[in-house]
Amino acid sequence: MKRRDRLEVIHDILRIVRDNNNSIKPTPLLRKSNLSSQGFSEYYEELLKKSFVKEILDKKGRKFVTLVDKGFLFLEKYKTIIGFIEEFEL
Amino acid sequence: MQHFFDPSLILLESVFTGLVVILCLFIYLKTREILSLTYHKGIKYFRITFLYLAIAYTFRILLHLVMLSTELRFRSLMPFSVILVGYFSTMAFFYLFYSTFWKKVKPIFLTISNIAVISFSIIAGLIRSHHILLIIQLILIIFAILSIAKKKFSKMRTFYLLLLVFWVLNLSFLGPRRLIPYELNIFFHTISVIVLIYILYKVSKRTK
Repeated sequence: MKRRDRLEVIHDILRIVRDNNNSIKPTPLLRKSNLSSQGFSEYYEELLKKSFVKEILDKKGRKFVTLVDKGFLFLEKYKTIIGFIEEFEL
Repeated sequence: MQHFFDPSLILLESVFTGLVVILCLFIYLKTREILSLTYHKGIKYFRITFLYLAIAYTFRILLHLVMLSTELRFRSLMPFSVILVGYFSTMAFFYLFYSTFWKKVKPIFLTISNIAVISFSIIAGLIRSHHILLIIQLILIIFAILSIAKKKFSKMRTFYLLLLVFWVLNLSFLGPRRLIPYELNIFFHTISVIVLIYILYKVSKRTK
């Protein structure tokens, strides 16, 4: 099986969040992302730090992950980004 | 036989340089969003290449004017111009190479290349000669050709190579020229502009 590159993994994580009505708990997100715990943590921290996603708490204090504008923009532009990288051989 | 300092030719060259600088800056600015979304190293180095090329072309015209100047106070600026042209153009070469081979490039390479290029540029500035830069850049081009030759034919890499080759040719025409026709330099500028327009067109198409 082909190893996913960094952008592909980010795309998959963001897509999972979006496809779950833009609200998913971190544990199911980890499971659906097909990453190791350590790998997921690194990507998750990066996505939080770079404001692609944010964490929100519901009334019961449960943590949910949700996309913010940059995350939606990434998903919207993903094909363009890949096209750019391929076109310029980066 | 060419006039030593023909204002109309200098003006024409300045216009071409201005065009090159504007095209490079457009490429740099048009790729800002795609970098902010991806933090992709290849895109980062690709952008730096065009920013540095824009700066190098700007200082190149300054260096050209300084070399043609007969006034001592202007000629005293020559070492600084050589250093700046040398650093930014040679690093643009490196960054273009890094942009396509970023997966193989370790951070230490960036530090080493920066230190080496700064050193060579300072030496070139001190001896007031851009020829040392020409030699280094020619070596880099040969290295780039060898790297490209190993892979299958690629249109974009050929364009990258053309961009570098025409920069070196433009650099080789610096200073008072008596035997080389000035028109040849303008021809090389024209090719550089065409290559950059093509790259900008592709960038615009891919960043809509």
